[in-house]
Amino acid sequence: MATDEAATDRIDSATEGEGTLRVDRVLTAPEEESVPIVSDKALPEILLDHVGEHGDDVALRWKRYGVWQEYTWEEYYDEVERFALGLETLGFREGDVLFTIGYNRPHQLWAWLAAQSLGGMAAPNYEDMLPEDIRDQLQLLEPNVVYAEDQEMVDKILLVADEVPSLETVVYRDEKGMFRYEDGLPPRFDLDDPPEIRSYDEIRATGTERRESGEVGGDYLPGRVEAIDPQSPAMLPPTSGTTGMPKRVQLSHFNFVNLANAAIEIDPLPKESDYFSYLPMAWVGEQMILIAAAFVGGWTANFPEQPETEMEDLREIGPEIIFSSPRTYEAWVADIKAKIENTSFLKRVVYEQSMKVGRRLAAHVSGDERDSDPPAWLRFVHWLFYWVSYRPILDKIGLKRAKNVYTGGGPLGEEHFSYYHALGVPLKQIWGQSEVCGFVTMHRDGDIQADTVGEVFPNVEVGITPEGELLVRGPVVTSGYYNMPEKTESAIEDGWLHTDDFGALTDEGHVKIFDRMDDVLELNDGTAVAPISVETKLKFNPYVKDALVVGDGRDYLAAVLNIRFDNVAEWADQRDIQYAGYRDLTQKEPVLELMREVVAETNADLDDPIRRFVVLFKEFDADDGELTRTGKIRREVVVDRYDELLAGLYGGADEIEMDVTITYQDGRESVEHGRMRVLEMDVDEVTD
Amino acid sequence: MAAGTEEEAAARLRTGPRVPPEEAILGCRDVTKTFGAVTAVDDVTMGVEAGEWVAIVGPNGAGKTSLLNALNGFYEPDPGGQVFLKGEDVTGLPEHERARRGLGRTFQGLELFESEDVLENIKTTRAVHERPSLLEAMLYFGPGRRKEAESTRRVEEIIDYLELWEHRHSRIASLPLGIRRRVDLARSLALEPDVLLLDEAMSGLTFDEKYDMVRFLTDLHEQESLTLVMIEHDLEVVTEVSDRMIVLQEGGVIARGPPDAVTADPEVARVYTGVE
Repeated sequence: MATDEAATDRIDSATEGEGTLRVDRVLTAPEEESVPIVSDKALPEILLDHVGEHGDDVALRWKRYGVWQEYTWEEYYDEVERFALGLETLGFREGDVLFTIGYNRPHQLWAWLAAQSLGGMAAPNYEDMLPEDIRDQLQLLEPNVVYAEDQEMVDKILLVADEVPSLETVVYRDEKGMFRYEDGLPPRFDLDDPPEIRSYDEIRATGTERRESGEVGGDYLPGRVEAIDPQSPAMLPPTSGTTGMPKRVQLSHFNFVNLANAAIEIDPLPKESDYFSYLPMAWVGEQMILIAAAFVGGWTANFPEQPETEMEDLREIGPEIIFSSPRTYEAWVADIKAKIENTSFLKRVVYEQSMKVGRRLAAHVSGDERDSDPPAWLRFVHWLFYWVSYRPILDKIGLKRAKNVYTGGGPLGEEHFSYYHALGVPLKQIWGQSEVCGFVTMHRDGDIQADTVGEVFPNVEVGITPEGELLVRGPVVTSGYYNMPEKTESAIEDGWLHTDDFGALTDEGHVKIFDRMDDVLELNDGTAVAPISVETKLKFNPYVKDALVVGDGRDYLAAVLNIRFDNVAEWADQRDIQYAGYRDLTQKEPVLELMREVVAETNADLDDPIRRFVVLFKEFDADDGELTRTGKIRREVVVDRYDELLAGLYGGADEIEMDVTITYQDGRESVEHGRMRVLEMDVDEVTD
Repeated sequence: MAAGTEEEAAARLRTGPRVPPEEAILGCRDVTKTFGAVTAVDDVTMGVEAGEWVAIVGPNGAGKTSLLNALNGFYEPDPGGQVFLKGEDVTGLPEHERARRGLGRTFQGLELFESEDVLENIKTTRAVHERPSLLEAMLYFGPGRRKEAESTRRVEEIIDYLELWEHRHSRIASLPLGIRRRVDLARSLALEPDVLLLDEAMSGLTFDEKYDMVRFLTDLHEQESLTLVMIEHDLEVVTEVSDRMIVLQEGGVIARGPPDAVTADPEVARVYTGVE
């Protein structure tokens, strides 16, 4: 099915807002989706329900010492209780914030639930944040306890600890290297009032001791859980920070529980279905699955051994539920395409033929022919190719058993969508942001449209202003930003959350996103261009990792490209092209010509072609502030940082030289000098 | 500094071992090793205290590796020389017997099974250590099974410690030198040594790989109290990490003592730079 006949009924037109806000149209969920609103459950209560109902089911797995260690729901709660009782002895009280930073580990999850069980909230952070960013967040959140994964993260906290007066205790999980802190801090940390450094196991043991000595009874923590106000904040995820320092979004138990109920209603899966947790735990989407959807659905969350083994571990688990960022899906496609180019002739022919068939089927799933069912012969040939082509490919990337496959956190190009549908993977787009628990719209089975982000979640409303900005209202919307009342006031108006996303509501009841409101650029002839749509087209090529498209207030579009190093290096090796590292490779003549072909291919699909471009001599990097920690380009920062480069692009230069300051993980900086050729496209030839 | 004091300092560097070899965790007395007319090791007496990190340095051909070979039993010293391990005379014992008594060793030339993966390489070494009885080997239950489980656990702990997770199933031949050296170290740790001999464990490594290797060795030394005896050319690394240095030239000891004092010694400088 493609057109929901009731969809137009779900669009209220020209609704005047209660205050000054004007809402042109409002879209709601498909009528058949009815989910009651639950307002009396806190997240740890759901955990306790699982313990009572099926405590022996596997709730978590963590690969440790090469073996998947399992934890039942009963053991899950037991771990939460031990840590919570220990955490309380550190002075953690109701309403307090537990600052967490670390890799995907059950311990961080237990720490979150422990904080929530005590009536507090957890504020997770990206593990690769720089010390000064950590300081800013600590000063905003004012925690007295920090959970840090390992020595590296403890060190980053200690570097700024003197500027965070609230900080009293740092709890670390990984013992490696921490023996040096046992008899006081190493001399490099010259702190006036150093925080206490304690191990996770020690805090857990304190909790165990309190329980076993009878200091607290078995009903103590369940009693604390029962007293939690579901409307109180449970998590404080960071915003992506595309325009500045990330804010902290207050998301309540109520927000999470109601979103999870809706998600399970739309895409149900049996209990103990596997989810693989490898997206950063600071990302709201990951939190939504770990502490809400997996809770409500009774799914098993699997944690990789180490970030380095994620892909291998993912393949071993072969989860039913996959939720990844667009960058991961882009990287998988690039990887598959690069491998196919280097495989045997026979395999390449089979792949190419199978993809032709796959694309035809994809057209019925999410493309032009989605109004009609695929013919029986096409389904049969697709099934045959599944066994000889798609299945081995999906097995390599861990998607062989995937049933509920989602992307979110940014747009994924239509080409990528169609690629996965061709492989038989039912990939769906989710649209949301931290302020709405990460989910507002999602594609439904049988109605996946590659150019939309799907339909609205039950109980949620999406509105649109005359300027094209999308608004959201409903039980998933935050109560505001933590410690930032003025930001809250400007973000929420008459109950509507301003998303700052520029989009449209279709007559079929879908939501379309073009770009961020501030990012849409206008060429001098008045043409509006959403740069992100051009960038996603460029990134469909396996040799392009990132792209920045510019042109606001200019006569034409120009681009700055990042090569996908592994694939371009392999391409260069096969052609005996000698190079001395990333920088050198980016400016090799054959590589520049390869990039020219990529841009020409993209131009063929564009009304306004890219006329000039450069291949940047370094990768865009989150440590340099060029990307958010989730990998999105911080356009304003990048445009400002490379103003010299952009001036050269539009000033007719053939070559641009510039110095760029590079920042390392530990905060050190160095200045790199680069020289880049400017390439001009033969646009007339392309557009003819 | 007065000339007399300089002479005293130099003399201190040329006295005998700080610890008598018989009382050291590892030591040798009057060890000489000749190959025909060539004297590779010339009457060396040394003692390493438990928990120490000793570096053996010297120009190419000074006899460093031959001394290590004599210590771990790969070479038998010429008659009259003795090697002591934990106070016991182990002179006549073969290499594997010394290994079983706590003397580990890494190799400059990396003696790894190239076609096997990392896990297999470490497990194979561990199996030598296990040496199950015939009955245990034939009947796979009870103690035999427990022993294997314990062995697997130990191997996995080493993989975790040396951060080899992602290479567990990679063939040695496909790995860069830095990882291979780490696997070599892992193999020697599988035998649970009390003293570890490192033969140029950082040779050929990039800056980052060296940094990682120093990090692992420092942790092993400080946290696990592992005694380390290493041959190393990089004097910057040696002075940074070691407690004591022993300088060899033409098979004999020409200086020994704290790294700062040894590297400041004019005789040592002459040996290294060739400048009088």
